[in-house]
Formats: sequence, structure tokens, C-alpha cells
Amino acid sequence: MIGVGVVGVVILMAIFASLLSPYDPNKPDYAATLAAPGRTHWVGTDELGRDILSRIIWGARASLLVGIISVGGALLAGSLIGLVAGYLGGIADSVLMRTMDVIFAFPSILLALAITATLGPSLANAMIAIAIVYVPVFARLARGQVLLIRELAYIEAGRALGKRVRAILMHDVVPNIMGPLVIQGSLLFASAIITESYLSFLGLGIQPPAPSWGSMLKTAIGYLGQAPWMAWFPGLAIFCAVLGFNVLGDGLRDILDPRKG
Amino acid sequence: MRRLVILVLAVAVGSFGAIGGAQAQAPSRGGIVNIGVVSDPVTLDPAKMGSFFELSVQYLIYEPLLRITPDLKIEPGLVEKWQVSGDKVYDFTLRSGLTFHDGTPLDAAAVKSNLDRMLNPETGSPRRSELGPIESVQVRGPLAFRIVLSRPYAPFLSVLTNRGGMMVSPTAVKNFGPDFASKGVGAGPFKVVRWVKNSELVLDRFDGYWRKDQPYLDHIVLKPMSDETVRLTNLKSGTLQLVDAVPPQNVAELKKLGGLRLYEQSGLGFNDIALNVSKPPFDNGKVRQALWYAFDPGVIQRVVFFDTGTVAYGPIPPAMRWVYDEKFKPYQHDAQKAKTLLTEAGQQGGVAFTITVTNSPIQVKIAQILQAAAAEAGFRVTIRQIDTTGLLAVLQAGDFDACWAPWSGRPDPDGNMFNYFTIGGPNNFARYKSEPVDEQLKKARVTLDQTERAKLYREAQAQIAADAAFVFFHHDAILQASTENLVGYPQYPDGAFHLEGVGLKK
Repeated sequence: MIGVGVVGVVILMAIFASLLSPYDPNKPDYAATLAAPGRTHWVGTDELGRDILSRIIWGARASLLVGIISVGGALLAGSLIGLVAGYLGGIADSVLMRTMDVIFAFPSILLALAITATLGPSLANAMIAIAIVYVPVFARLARGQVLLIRELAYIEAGRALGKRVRAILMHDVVPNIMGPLVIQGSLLFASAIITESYLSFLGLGIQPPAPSWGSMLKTAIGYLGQAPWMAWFPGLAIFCAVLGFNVLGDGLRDILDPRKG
Repeated sequence: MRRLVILVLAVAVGSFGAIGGAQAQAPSRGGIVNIGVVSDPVTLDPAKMGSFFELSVQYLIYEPLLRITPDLKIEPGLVEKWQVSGDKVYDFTLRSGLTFHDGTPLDAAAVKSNLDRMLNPETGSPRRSELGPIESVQVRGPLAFRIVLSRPYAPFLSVLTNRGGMMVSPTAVKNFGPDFASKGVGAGPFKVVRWVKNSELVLDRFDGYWRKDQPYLDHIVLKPMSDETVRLTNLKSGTLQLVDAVPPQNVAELKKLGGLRLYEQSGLGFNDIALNVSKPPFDNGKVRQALWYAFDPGVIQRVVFFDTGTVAYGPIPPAMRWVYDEKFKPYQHDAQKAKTLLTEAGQQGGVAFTITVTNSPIQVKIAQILQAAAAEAGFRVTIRQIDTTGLLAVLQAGDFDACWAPWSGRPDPDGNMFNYFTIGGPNNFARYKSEPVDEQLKKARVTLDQTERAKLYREAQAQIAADAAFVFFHHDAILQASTENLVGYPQYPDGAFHLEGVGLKK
């Protein structure tokens, strides 16, 4: 429940950013740079006088967008690959899964870095990079699930009745493997937020002046002596969001998959 | 016999006192200094150096023919004495017994070989235009050489105190070929031991250095760290003993912190943005001027530089007292005027462009300020961040709309202007073409009268600002810091490291 609560807050922040945020997150105020948290700026201002609270609220968009698109994309692509590989077996299985193994062999951080550096720094490319890194996770999971139920009675029955492969997959297999995939998805959502944070931290994700929790953290390091609040709040935001999604994922696992509980 | 003994004893006691006194003043011998620098050098060949990144190493590995003091006076270097006849004939005599790091003798023949190489068009060296109108270099003896100029050239001696006067081992150049750029064999106080690119450049003391008791340090390790906050953190933690380019926001804090020394002085260089005039949108002068009117350099001075250094409107800094004009303020912040200029240029819908900066936090901050200010006038700016070692390549290739193009500065205004603003100059990254400026700069070189030169440089500066191919915004102060136990560090107004007289207090 805590998970739902925290995630809910993040989602609300992202959707209603323009309503909730007290200031324009990109508007500088050179007379009020590095201001401590106070009445006019509840969480303080950054090195260009921009309101940090507004930037954190709008930063939720970057994090959520990355989570939804990259994890969603990886889930769709990975599940499809795993599904096909698991059900068809044979050469298709070998080819697909060996490809997944190659991607999986790279440390995820390095792979995301390499892809973004090659494609060029931008939020879109960061999302593509993260998606590619997560595809093998879903592929393996989906394939595993398919192998488990492939030989079950109702699948055999379908085959015996002459149902086409695609129909079997869509109607019988997919609904039964959704559970673990969704759980994995919510757990990877948290991981995606962290990955986006360090890609922007390294200058490879969202580009200035657009706010992102990771890039805010990077800038804050240069001012730890003068304005430590610049680092506390984006750090806190990342921490809470990641924890929230993790707890949500655990909760979902309890609901959807009692066997694995 | 007794008088002789007394004499000998007196001399012995006297010299003991002298040695004791000398030891109290000179730093102790030995030790390693780890230095945090902004970037790896692009090349270790002084004939090819073209960026400020090499300033941290050039005087460590190479010794110039003439030396310059921190207050810009010229004194003997490899050359022991010189004589000028008329205004075109320079006779030099080298010190005797000089060698390069690899043992090759440093004699007049080696000097001629160096100068010929820098002047040879095939080498493609930026030194060629810096060294000026050299007609001939003649060897007149094992240590004596004569340089004859075809025209008087005012900056000549000051050029020999910088890269144009740095001698490299001709044997090494022959043996290594193009690989010499990563080897760096000179006659400076330190020699190259190992260079792991983008990680560390390790130097050892050169025992054959002409100053017999120097350098004091055993080793120097240069570590490139493009992020200024990382450099400073490493200094505070003791991993580094000396750092270049301290972030301005930490200056106030450093002054109060114990255990560290801050070095600050007015710089010789300028901080600016080059606008590519060879293609849209900056091929139009009104668009360029609009950009300059759009932002307020006072904001950058306060918010980015925390009131260190001064606002700049041109390439001549306050440190060049005989040329600098503090009343020169060709632009004021005027967003309305910027909009009008854009309309006059036919761009009332706004102009989109990309500004290229290195991924250092200060640069990104300046880029964001410019982005926000330019937006008020109708510009739509995208910020592109690149690695520091890629900056020179981007500038030279013209692969930009607007790009950061800083200059560390030279003692003579010619050094700040000729290569940047003459037509086809090696640092003319904006591809700027102005016949009047070209003429003024060429004339100012060959005039020896200082008043006349000052007038020419100020006129050229005014025209350069009006044409706005380069948008100036700041003359940076040189801000460096070291641990307290580093003694004898002489800060230069271009930020270059001269470390032969530096040691560690035990």
C-alpha cells in the first residue's frame, strides 16, 4: 500500500506538473541564486535562481516517461522474443536467445552508456538505450514462463483441436505469463529511474535546461559547500520514487503470484 | 702555514653559514606533486600546440630560448645573451653544455633545425605566423645564431618566450616521426616518462637542466579532470597538491579554509563564443549583433564568476595596461534592440541555433544563461556538450553554429589578436573576414612605436566588436590552488605552470 501511495504521488506530480509547480522550472532569477529553503522558495533555488521544488515536480515527468517508455518498450519487445523463442523452440529459440545472451553479457551500466554515447545525448536516446538493456530480462522471463506451460494440458488440447499457433499464443499462453512479467516490469521501473539519473548525471540523458533529478544532482555537487539543499531534495526524490516502485513490485508479486511468495 | 690554515677555516665556516642560509630559503629537494588539470594536452609537440590545455605541461617539458617572468619581463633562457642591431637583426648566444632529455646536444644547429621546422609550410605549424617575418636563421658558431627579419616585428622577443621559442630534440623528431606528438623530448626541467592518455602524464626530474640546483621535485603527475568540482574535491582530500582553474564559487570558501593556498590574479586571456559566419544563421551580421544585445554580461560576471575577473567586450584584457581601454563598452543588454535587429535581418520568426560547449559545469552554466537570455529576443537555443579534447577539432572543422573559443592570453596584444582575427588566421574559428582589421593587425606588428600600436589595436578591437563574429563576455581571473606544503609557486597571468622552483615543505 505504501508502494501504491508513493508511486501515486510521483504519477500525480508528473501529470499535474504545470498545476502543482509554483514557478516555471526553467526561469532563472539571478537576484536569488543559491537561496536557502524559505517562504518564497520552499526548497530553495539553484545556481541560476531556478526554484528547486518546481524542478523536482517537473523532473518527475522525465523519470516517469523514461520508466514507462523504456520498460514498456522492453517488456513488449522482450516478451515477444521470449514468447516466440519458447514456443517454437529449435533454431529460432537458439538464435533469439543467443542474441539475448550477448546483450545480457554486458554490464547494464556500460551498455546504456555506450549506446547513448553513440546515438548522442538526449532523453529519447537514453530511453532507447535503457530499453535495449532490459529486453533480455523480459525475453528470458517470458521464454521461461512459456516453457513451463507449453506442455500443459490445455495447450495440447488447443493444438489437437487445430488452433493456429498465433491463436494459442494470444489466447492461452499470454494471459498466463502476464503475472511475472508485470512484476518484473514494476521492479525494473525503479531501476530505469536510477539509470536515467546517472545518464543525466553524466550529461548523456536529458539535456539542459530541462530538469531531471539526475542532472540536478550532478550540478549540486559543485555547490555542496554553499547550498547543500540542491543535492538533498533531488536525492530524496530519487530515493523515494525508487523505493516506492520496489515496494509496489513486491506487493504485486504477493497478489499475482502466490506460489512465489 | 698557520695563516693558510686560518684562511681555510674562515672560508669553511663562512661557507657553512652561506649553505645554511641558502637552505632556509630554497625548498627541500624531492617529492611528488600530483596536479589536477582541465584536460589532457592534445599534443606534446610545441610546433603543433594550438589550445590552452598544453599550458599546464609546455614549460615543464620544454625550455624556451628566452624566459618570461610573472610580471612579463623578458630574461635569458636557453639563450644566455642577445643583441639587436637596427630593428631586424637579432644575434643570440646559447649557454654552453646544454642537452636535450635524450642527450642530443642543444647547440645553434639544433636551434636552426627547430626554427626551420616551425617555419616550414609543410609542417603546418601555428608558430609560423607567430614567429613573424623571419627571413633567415644563420648558424654563426657552435652556440651562436642570428635571426634576420624581413620587416620590424614588435612581438618577436616575446614570441620566443612561448611555444615559438621551445626547442625539441631533432634526433627525437627524426626517430619518432609523427609519434613525436606523444613523446615530447625537450630540454625543460622535467622529462616525459609515461603518458596514459586521459589518465595521467608522468614526468621525472631532468638532471641535465641548465639551472643546476633545479628542479627540486622528483616527479610530477598530471591528471586530467574536466569537472572543476572533482578537481577541487581531490585537492581538499589530499590526492592532488595543485589544481588548475578553481571554480569561482569556491574562492570565498578557499580563502577561509586552512591547509590550502589560493592563487588569484588578473588574466591575460579572454572568454568568448565564436559564431560561424560561413553559414546561416550567423552569416548575417545583424543576427550576430542581436545575440550580443540579448544577454547581460554583468549577470555572467556575478552569477558564474562570483565577481572574479572582469566583463569583456573585446580581446584586450585589463592586464595589458598600455592598450586596455576601460571605457570601451560597445554593447548594453537590450532585449528589445535584439528583437529589432532580428526583424531587420528578416528573422522575426526567431532563430534556432546550437551552442557547443565542453561538459564542464561552468561552461554548461554559461550556456544556460545565454540560452535563457537569447530566448527573450527570439532565439531558440539547443546546448550541445562535447569532451574537452574534442573542442579544438570542432572549432577547426567549423562543425558548429556557436562554440566556446577561449584564449589563455599572451603578453603582447598581437598574441591575443593576430591568429584570431586576421583573414585565414589559425585561430580564426569564426571564419571572420575583415580587410580593415587584417590591415590594422598586420601594421601593428611591424610598428615599434607603442602609442601607435595601442591606437591600431584599439581600432581593430572596435571593428571586431561591431562585426560580432566573436561574442566576448569575460576576462577570467587566473584561479589556482595548492596544498599548504607546496612552496615557491609562481603564478603566471596566463595560468601556465612553471615548476622548476617549486618544492614541498617537509
